[in-house]
Amino acid sequence: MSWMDLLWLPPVMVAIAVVLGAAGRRGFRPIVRSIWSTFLTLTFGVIAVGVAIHLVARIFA
Amino acid sequence: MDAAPATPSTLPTTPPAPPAPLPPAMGRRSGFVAAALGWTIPGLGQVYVGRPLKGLLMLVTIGGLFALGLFLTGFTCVDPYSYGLEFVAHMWIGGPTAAAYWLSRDIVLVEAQPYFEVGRLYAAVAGLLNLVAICDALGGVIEHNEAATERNAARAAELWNREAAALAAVEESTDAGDDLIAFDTQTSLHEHQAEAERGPDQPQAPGAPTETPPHDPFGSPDVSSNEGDLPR
Repeated sequence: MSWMDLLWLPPVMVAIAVVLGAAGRRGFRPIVRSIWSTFLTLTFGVIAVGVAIHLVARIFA
Repeated sequence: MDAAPATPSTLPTTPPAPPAPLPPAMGRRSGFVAAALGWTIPGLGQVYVGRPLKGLLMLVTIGGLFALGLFLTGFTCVDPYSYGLEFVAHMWIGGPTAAAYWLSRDIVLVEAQPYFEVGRLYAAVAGLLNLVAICDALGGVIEHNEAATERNAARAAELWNREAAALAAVEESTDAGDDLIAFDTQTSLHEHQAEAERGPDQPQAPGAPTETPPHDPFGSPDVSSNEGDLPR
């Protein structure tokens, strides 16, 4: 498995961040701010989950 | 040296300014229509409630993800018989799902797609994201209807105030005796009231008074006739 295999992840993360960030908000700036914060949350959440899975696999391997 | 004739102080020197135009009344939106439109085409519900840019953003995002998923699977991922669980997610994006299912009903994959699983994920996520977009459109309907209620109430209050001001102006000019049209209207109203009381067929008795008591808008009983019964 290489880093190239993770290229499928950014498009779906961007789509989730855009839709969840824009939902329930009005105005250009609040929507952009919410999309950015949602994207950062998703990114760091996915990285954290990935690191945790690697650590658990390393420990129990 | 002759002095200029004095202008009567009762005559208005400038005509009154016309009132500012009222804002148009806002129509209400139906949540069912918004949900149906958003289900048919992603983002159309947002356009229905008056947020076209947000609808365009939803259309590009959700539609693009769904189209990318279709492309990566060779247009074969929308199949309720082969991928029933994912079809539950596809059902939330009704129009594109129906179109993809109809157009790809005769497509058979002859070779394996390298990113088939990724395409299945994209299409399923797009369907679930459209559920979020539908909920957003329903929230937009609620906000729109609340704004419409407030605006229409303010408009009705402004109309009421303008009519009250116009009535007050007419009454004031009638009291001053310089508005013959209003006086004539009031006189004819009294004549109509007198005719209604005596009946339309009976002619008016000569010399009968045409004065009628002023109309009481509250309908209170006439206590003047019972004045003798009251203890003094």
